[in-house]
Amino acid sequence: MSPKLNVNMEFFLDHNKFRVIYSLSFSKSPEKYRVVILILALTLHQGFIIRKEKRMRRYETIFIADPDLQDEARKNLFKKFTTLLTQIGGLLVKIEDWGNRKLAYEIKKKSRGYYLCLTYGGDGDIVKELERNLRLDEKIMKFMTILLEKDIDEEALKQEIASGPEYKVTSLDAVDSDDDSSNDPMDDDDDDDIDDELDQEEEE
Amino acid sequence: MTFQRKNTKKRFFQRRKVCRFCADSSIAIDYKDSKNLRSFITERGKIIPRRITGTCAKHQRSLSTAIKQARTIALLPYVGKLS
Repeated sequence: MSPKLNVNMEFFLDHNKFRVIYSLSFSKSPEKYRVVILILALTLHQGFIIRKEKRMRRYETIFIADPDLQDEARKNLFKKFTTLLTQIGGLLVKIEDWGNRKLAYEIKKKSRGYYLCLTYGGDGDIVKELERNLRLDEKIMKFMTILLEKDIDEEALKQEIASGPEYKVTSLDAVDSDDDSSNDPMDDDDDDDIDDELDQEEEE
Repeated sequence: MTFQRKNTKKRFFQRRKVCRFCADSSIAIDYKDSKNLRSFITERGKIIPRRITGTCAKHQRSLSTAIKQARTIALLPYVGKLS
């Protein structure tokens, strides 16, 4: 008695036309099942609509390159990743060159590293692709991506970077020192005993 | 003798410390600013509890995240050296 149920849906997702056809055929299922399947198909459709509204996010990726590289090779390496980022659709906002720094711990038996920090707008797929490429390159010792801001206005960002990405060089500064003798956050003498307590804890 | 005892007991009453970031809203907690974060870790690299630094709960949370992020990218040590 029950006929074939065909649900045809067409919608746009990131300029690509997707056609989803739910072809559900059932011969002797009762009426109520048909309703259930219809609702299922509709929720699926809804899910796709929500995914369509992908908002742009602001990310920051820091990576540490091999310190022993020649200037020319390093320049090419950095250029490779910045061009890659724009190629895959990221909006490069800022490039920060931190220079050759002392690392807090050794990475790949090296105690220094060349830091570069990229700030850009994009979505999760861009981060995924960039990180994949960073992982493949042997000259990159370590990298990290931080989400700075969710839901940013794409147009405003485009205007911000209309004159090209900002290039900033932070030369070797006092941050370079790696001695652990830090100034204590406490200046009053009241908490001497707690300090000692903590020191004891550490020595154990 | 009794006077001394009184004195030691008095030490438990401490001045309430104020959160540094609440007092001055211009200081931002940033993982890249390893110089400032260093004052919130011990020599061995451990995060100092807020009962000692007096940081409020909200700022201690973001502080600990920042320290952990800085550790990941080798700006701060996971394990500090014993000098």
